[in-house]
Amino acid sequence: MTALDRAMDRYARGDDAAFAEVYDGLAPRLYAYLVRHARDHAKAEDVLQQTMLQIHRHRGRFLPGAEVMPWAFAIARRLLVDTHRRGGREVLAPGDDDVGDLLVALDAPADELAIAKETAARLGEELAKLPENQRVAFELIKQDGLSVAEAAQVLGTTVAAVKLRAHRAYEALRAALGRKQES
Amino acid sequence: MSGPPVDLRARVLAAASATPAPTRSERSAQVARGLALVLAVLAALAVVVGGVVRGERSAALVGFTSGLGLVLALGLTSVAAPRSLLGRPRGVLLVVLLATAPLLAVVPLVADLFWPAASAVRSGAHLACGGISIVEGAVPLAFFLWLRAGTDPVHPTLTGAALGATSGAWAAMLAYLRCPDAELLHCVVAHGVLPALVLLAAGALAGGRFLRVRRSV
Repeated sequence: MTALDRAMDRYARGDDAAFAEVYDGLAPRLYAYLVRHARDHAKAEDVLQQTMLQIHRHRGRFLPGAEVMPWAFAIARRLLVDTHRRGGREVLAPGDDDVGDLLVALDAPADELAIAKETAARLGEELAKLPENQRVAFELIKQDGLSVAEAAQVLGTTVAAVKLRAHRAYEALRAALGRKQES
Repeated sequence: MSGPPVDLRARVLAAASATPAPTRSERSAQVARGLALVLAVLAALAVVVGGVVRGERSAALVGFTSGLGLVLALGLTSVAAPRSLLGRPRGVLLVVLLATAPLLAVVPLVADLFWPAASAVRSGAHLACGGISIVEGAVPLAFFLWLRAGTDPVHPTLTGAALGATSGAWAAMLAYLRCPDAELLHCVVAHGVLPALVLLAAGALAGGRFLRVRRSV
């Protein structure tokens, strides 16, 4: 049980001050996930706020020993999908901002930045071509840092199924990027 | 990538403190009250439909069918009930959906092996019995849906359908207590398969509508 889960457990038992700890533990990762998928900071803020309020509203349902992170990701994912549907838009493929931002922050040389951005863009293109169940499993594990078990909970499936999907996505991406490099 | 804006934290904390939410113990009390209400409604329904009616059936047959129905209802509820905040995996819910009606059909088939003469006992009120079973099953279904309302971000329709099928098992158990008709086909259809399928469909419809996580503002 992590410190975040313990904070959520205290909040479920009625310690109102623990909600700030829960927010601080969840918000950075959820926000990164939401920005990457929404590509819109205002929308990401809105969905993050909605997700936190859902967690607050249903705190009494938090079971002792449960994990709050997959629960929060699943709520955020559902609200984000609903937001896109309401806006008549497809769920967007991940962007390449993460790698670029990181290299700028590290003051990396311009050529390294260009290569990294190009690779990230290609990765984004190839990710978008994957079947949705493989893409989402890959993103939750490799990009959002969830464990396989947590990703399985978020997706409502088994650990074995998530492992298989993520592995297939990884193999497909490796093959596609290898082909592009050769050509 | 930058983190969330600082003022968002203050907004979220202010919104949460402005809208009190039940704690775990308050929630447990709510659930206990809900369960008591369900039992009271089922008891009232039982009185309305005549309570336990043995008819020409033997006490052993009534005990066997309603007991097996109870075991199935408890087992299916246990399998379909969430063990985490995110409910059961899709595969488990599908098993509940696919297995419930056949399992409920097995109860009268097994009973017929041990009490073959009872199959001749019939009332002819097949539709009425099926209708009462559906009404009785709707009570636990409403309770299950209320327990999970607005909390399923993963597969609300499937969860609702599984809860509906499970409610069909509870309805079957009650039907074996109140219905004196022991004819095999009647028991398979009116006590088991028909209510389970109708409640499964109702659960799927209601689940998609009421279990789904929605924006709160």
